[in-house]
Amino acid sequence: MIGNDIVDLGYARISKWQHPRFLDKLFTIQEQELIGQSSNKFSAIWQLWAIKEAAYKAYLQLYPSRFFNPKAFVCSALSSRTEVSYQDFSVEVQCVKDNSMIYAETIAQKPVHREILKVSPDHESQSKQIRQTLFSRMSEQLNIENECLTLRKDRSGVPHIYHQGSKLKAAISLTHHGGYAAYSITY
Amino acid sequence: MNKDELIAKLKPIIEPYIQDEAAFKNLSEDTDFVKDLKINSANLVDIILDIEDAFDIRLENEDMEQMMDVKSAMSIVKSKLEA
Repeated sequence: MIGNDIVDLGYARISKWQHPRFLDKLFTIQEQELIGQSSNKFSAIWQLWAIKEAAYKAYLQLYPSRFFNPKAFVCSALSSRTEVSYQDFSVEVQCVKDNSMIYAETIAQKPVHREILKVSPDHESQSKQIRQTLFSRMSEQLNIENECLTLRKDRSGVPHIYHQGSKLKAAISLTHHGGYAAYSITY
Repeated sequence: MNKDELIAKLKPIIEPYIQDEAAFKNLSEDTDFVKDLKINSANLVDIILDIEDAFDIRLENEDMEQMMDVKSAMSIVKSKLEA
């Protein structure tokens, strides 16, 4: 399993992060304290969000389902490596950030290939761009024809790659937000 | 508030976050926020806050949990208005 999430910080500015009930909708009391203690509240909020979302995506690969309950994915800390738990499930999530984006990804047992791309904000073209980049990287790594690869999402929204119609044994996570997109894959 | 009135009030709340115009034009009870309208999950909470303010209701975590499509949003809002 693998889960990732990217936040475009420029794009996140126009969300309702300053709404009086925003924090309570997404974060536990302890997480709200971590945000309150942080020197950059805005960045802390979106780092915790990305960590929770990456953990949720990994969870779906083990337990197919769909729901929206970020508050229930509890972060133990606000750091570059954070343990997240949801009911009996727990996973470690690592984070990288710069001034314009935050990227979170669950720690996997096997090597992970990933790429963060700058994309146009249009949903359809960024979706195409990330798939094409992933396919061409996979075709190099697996020595197969790019054109034989397709991507389909299952009912939980989890992406799977098919080669000439048969499902590959790979865990994939895709993410996009504003002007950024990323994939991570482990074989 | 009947179904049509409810949809009419929800549509402008959802519109700023949609990334698929065609799906929005054909919006029905079965429309899924993420799969059909391509709304980024980071914006779901914005929609929830807007719904709370527009209808003067408060949604709990359990309410939010299933709010993945128009139908469930409508039934949750309806039950809150009747409570």
